[in-house]
Amino acid sequence: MKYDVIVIGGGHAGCEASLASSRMGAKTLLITLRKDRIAQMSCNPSIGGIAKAQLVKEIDALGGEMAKNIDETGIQFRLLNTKKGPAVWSLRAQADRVLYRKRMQEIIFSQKNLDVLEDEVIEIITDKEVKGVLTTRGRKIEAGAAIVTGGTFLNGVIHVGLIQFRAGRMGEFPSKGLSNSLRKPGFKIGRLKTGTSPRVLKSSIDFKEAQIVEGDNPPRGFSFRNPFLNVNQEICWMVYTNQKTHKIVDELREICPLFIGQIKSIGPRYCPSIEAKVFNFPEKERHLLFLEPDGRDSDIIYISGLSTSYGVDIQYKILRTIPALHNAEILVPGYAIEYDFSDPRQLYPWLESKKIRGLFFAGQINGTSGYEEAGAQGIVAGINAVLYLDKKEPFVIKRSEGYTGVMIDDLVTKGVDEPYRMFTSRAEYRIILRQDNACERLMHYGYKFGLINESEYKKFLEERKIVDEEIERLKKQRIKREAALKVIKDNFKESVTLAELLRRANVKYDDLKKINKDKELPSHLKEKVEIEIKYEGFVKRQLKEAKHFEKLEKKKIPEDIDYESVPNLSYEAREKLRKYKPLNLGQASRIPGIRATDITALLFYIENRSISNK
Amino acid sequence: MSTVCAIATPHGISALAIIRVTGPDTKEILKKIFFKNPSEISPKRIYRSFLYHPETKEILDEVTFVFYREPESYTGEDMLEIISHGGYIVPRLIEEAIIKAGADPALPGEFTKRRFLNGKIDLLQAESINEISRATTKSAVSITLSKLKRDVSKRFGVIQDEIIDLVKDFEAIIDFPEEDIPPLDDREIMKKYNSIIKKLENFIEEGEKGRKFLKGPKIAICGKTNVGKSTLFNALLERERAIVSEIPGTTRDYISEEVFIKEVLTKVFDTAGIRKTKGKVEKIGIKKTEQIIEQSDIIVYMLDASSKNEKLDGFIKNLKEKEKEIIVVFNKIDRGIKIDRKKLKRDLKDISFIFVSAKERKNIDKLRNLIEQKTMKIFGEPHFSLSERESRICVKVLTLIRESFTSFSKKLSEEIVVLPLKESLSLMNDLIGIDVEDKILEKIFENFCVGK
Repeated sequence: MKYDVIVIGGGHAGCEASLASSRMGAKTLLITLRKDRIAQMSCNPSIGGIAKAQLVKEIDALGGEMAKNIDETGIQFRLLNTKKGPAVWSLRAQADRVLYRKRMQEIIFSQKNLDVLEDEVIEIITDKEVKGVLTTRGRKIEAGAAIVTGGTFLNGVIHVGLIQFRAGRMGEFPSKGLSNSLRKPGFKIGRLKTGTSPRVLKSSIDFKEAQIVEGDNPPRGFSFRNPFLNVNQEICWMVYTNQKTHKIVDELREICPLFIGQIKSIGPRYCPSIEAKVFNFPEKERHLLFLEPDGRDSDIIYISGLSTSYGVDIQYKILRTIPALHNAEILVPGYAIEYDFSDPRQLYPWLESKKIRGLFFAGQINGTSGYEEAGAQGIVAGINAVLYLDKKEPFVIKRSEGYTGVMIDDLVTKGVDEPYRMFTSRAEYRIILRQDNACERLMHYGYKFGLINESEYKKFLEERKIVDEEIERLKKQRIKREAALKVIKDNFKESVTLAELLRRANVKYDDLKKINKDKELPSHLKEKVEIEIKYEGFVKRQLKEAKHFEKLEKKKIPEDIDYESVPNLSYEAREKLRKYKPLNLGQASRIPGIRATDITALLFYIENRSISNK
Repeated sequence: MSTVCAIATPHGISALAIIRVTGPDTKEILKKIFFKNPSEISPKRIYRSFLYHPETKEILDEVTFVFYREPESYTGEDMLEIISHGGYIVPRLIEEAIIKAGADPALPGEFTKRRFLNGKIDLLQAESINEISRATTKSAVSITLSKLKRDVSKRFGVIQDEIIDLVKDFEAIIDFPEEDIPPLDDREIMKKYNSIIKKLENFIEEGEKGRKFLKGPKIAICGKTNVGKSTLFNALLERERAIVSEIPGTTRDYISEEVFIKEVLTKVFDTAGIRKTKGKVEKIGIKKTEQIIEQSDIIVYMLDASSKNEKLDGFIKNLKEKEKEIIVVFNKIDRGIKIDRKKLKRDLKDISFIFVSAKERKNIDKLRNLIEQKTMKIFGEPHFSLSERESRICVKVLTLIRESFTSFSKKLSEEIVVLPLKESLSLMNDLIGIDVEDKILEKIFENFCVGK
């Protein structure tokens, strides 16, 4: 057997990676432990949320599958942060867990150029570059490039209370050989921990005691193809823990795996278990939990916010303290899982390993957490594996172009010491990186790589033209003060442009209708016009800053640089630069502890060197 | 990098002088001027030797010298320090000999520059050393030293922490909308803004005072022609030795000297006399005088005590409006005081004044006391000093914080309010480097129970 690209692992990263490479024309093989678990959601049955929705929209603009998949299998859609500005609006959807994976499986199984094999990879055959893989069932498969998307499966160990056993996910075997085989060529492998909440029987919950959370009307979609969705939505519920809950959690500290040293790896701060919440914030009287349906016809409810490493008996005790859950029947207990990850600083910003050419890593194996983070890396790795085989320039998304770029740059520059999750505060160009303009930022790449088809791209450009023309018109058309006052009471000069009027804090695009009758735009385009006019000044300011940094990004640091011989670097900077091995000055400037003066010193050194080399 | 040398002690009569050599050829030069094998010289030990001219082989002086091996030297390179006899001639001859042996004359500040370039110190410290070598009073040195000890960074760090703490409140609201985080308390946020703005303002003000203090307060002596300005100027210079030689004014219309007034190093300007005139040249002179007054901190305005018709004119009023510290000096008391004291006292109100005889050096010391008092009044006791670069960054940071505050007051949404705050943090990163983004997240997780 011979393939162009082999993708190891069928999770959210593996799906996007194998679809991207096969759609770009590379003969691709996806190897997974279980075909029927491809695209399984291991944790919450939900997609999106703050900063994560931006990632999903970026995957979509690049021509990935996640957005389409959730739009078709979602059962509740809500736009978060609407009280704040559109730069931080984020869509979140509840998924039907079973339908989500089934639809993705159909897409994968019917994709041209893409084969799926049930097996376990134990070794990657290399000779400075990837040659193929070996499997436990004795197969030797040749390939020019390989993408490892192992998720939590590499040497996974599950903890439920004091019981621990080897598993990749509850009820599934882990992958045992692969991380050892990665250690052989010298990859640094570390260990992380994450956790998940108990799932309970729906009919055992007393919903009278819970607050209902309803979806938006009309619901928005993730994909640019679906500004709005036509879908019947399910409801979710909110409940709170209370002092009784906290008392139980606190009193049983001595049998909590997290505190007696049974779990040694570092878990994510942003995804704290209930025990971490109670221990770290004793003054807090209650913690919020969401009850999320696992699917439309499912009898499973996922209790979001109650991840725990306590045993099943204690999980029952905890549930009993919450009125809505006093009779709750646990179907799958919450658990903690420890797994191997590979230090992402061993990767280039296009996710290829520095050690072995043609070997790519994406998803949780790079120390991230979240389906969206995994998917975004998956598509980038998939695209780059093909570019590598075609001997083309690698594809790197800039920090000013996408959250995907911010995430990958953070990973490969700083590494991780806890599972990495996307936050909007990680992005310095937050005003530019919005969910409403993902297509403007990235679709031209998707189109270039053949992942976005001609007609879709044309349609996007046409819509863009409408928006641009409308913005142009609003900037030109002036109205008299009396007319403006009809829209909002404010200090106006003699006359004002419509754009100036729209820029006022409380003016909406539709308010202009009162004074200015014109052809009606589709509502998602109206929103675009409004956002772009309101943010214009801030966007310009951020673009200027981004441009300044781009210059640094272009200054490559020679691979053979000897930091000892760079004058004017502090001892600390020297140590850090040696450790992090930045590729360019931009990357160097983001290493913690590196100062502007260090960058200046490096710049002088590199420039002088290139002069004396000429 | 070339090898350079310089005489490190001031030119003039002195018992000893120090000549320094630094750079890769230091050992070569050592061999040529001492006829010693450098491999037999241990670093950091004092040797006594004759010093020869490398070509004529003539003995120039008997000296002691210390060799420092890189990187354990001031500059981080090989370095030689020669202690020779002082005076005008010997050090110069030695310098010439070293240049003959292959060194270049060092540019001003070159030793510190090399120290910086070789990574022995960072920019902040380099700036401090530059100031230390120029500082000449005890308090000036302690200000500069406090910077070396990173006092500035510490104070600045406190402000940065407060900004991060404020950013954290906004970021938590943005990134965790569904986490039961209490809404922002507007009064609490206002308090935080006010505290940051106040601290920054004080920081900048004190830092700039410190910088001015290091440079020394400027004192302008002015008044009508022939009132005795130059005599007073000389009187002020006489007791303490000026440390910098005379700098003639570019248009030859004033002279200035650095002078110790008590413990404080000051710069005193002797300006062109003010006289109603139609002559062009003198008009230029008067314009210059006005410029000097503009930059000066203390104005010594002279009047003739021996003239019956002497009175205060519009000039003083003008100065008062500019909020300069003024000392009115009534000169020529040796000729008898003929002015109308009562009237003048009335006119002077709260302006300080003193009667002196510049010619007979009478009451000059009292005048010095008065100047010192004024200096303290202007500068207080500054704890640290900011360089112009640092000052500029701080002012920019302050502008950004104010911008954010305005956005907050206008109730703009959080991502807009926080924008200038984050810009200010990345600016501050130029002064003290930390990973701001991680610190913000850290603060959020410390303060709010978030995450599912």
